[in-house]
Amino acid sequence: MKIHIRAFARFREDFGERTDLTVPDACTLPDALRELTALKGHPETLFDDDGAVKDFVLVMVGGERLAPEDRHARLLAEGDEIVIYPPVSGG
Amino acid sequence: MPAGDGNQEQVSEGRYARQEMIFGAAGQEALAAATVVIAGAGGLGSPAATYLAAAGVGRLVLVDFDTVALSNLNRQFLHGDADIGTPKVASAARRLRALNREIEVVPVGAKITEENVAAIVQGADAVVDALDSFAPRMVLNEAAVKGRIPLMHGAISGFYGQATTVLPGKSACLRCIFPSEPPKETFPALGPTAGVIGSIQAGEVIKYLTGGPLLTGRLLLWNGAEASCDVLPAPRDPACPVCGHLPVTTEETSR
Repeated sequence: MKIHIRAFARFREDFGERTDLTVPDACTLPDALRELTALKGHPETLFDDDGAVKDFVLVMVGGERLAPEDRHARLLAEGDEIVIYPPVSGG
Repeated sequence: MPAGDGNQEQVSEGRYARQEMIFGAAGQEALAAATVVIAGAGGLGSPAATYLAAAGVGRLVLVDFDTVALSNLNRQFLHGDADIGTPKVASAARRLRALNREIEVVPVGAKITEENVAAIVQGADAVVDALDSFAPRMVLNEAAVKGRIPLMHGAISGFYGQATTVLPGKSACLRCIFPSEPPKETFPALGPTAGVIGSIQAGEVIKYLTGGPLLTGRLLLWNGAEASCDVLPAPRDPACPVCGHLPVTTEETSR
């Protein structure tokens, strides 16, 4: 199935603005993001040492924010749009 | 607007004449009667406080524990070379009073903590989050939610910035949007990025006080590298440990 990933702010420097991916059915959100880093590199940008998506990364699927605890098992559907954004903290 | 034709009428216009064209004398009175706490007198606090002072917000409470460093001056225009080593709130208050003698500026040289935050925000009509890391932001967020005080959030890093407005109990609070805090970092900082985001925050305060649609339930992302702007939906989290207990009400976008 086809999904796409939109990156914002400094994530665009690593992954570009939009990536279209063809992934197997029963693809989870972390699977898709691993596909992204396999294609574009920079796994350390998205994943912590345990291979989990970094908690502070804001992740949305289909316009809905996914809490860190809900990401691991989230299954994707055909046409899903994933948004990834690294909140900034300076002032 | 330049008065290139020497228009005599403009000479007699009052300080707030041009903005009263937007929200009238009643709006101006609302600004004059308001107390706004600005947490942080740095990159975001400089534009936010400057525009709120110029707009005639009656009482500005500036909170910052830090002193001015040379590396602040590329963006923190409330301070100058002569202020290095002195408290940021002192130079900021001096500049703001020079800008508008009709308002009251209250400098508070303190770090925001769980112990002092309630006293700092008490009586405020709005709070501007112009801080530079997430830990004190979350302290401020919790106090704003407890006090049901609107919070105008902004943050920057390099060319990137974000902003949202929190109406406690009505729209997402910072904990709803950022359940896990980004790590503290020595962030790259550029004046124009802080200018964009701090100005958005000041605009949100002015609209809240005078009436107008707000940046609630949405996270605005500014990308200065591309000169582009995106807005992501940011709904309330019913399980939010900070504001989830507040009853769900119809979101009001204006006072």
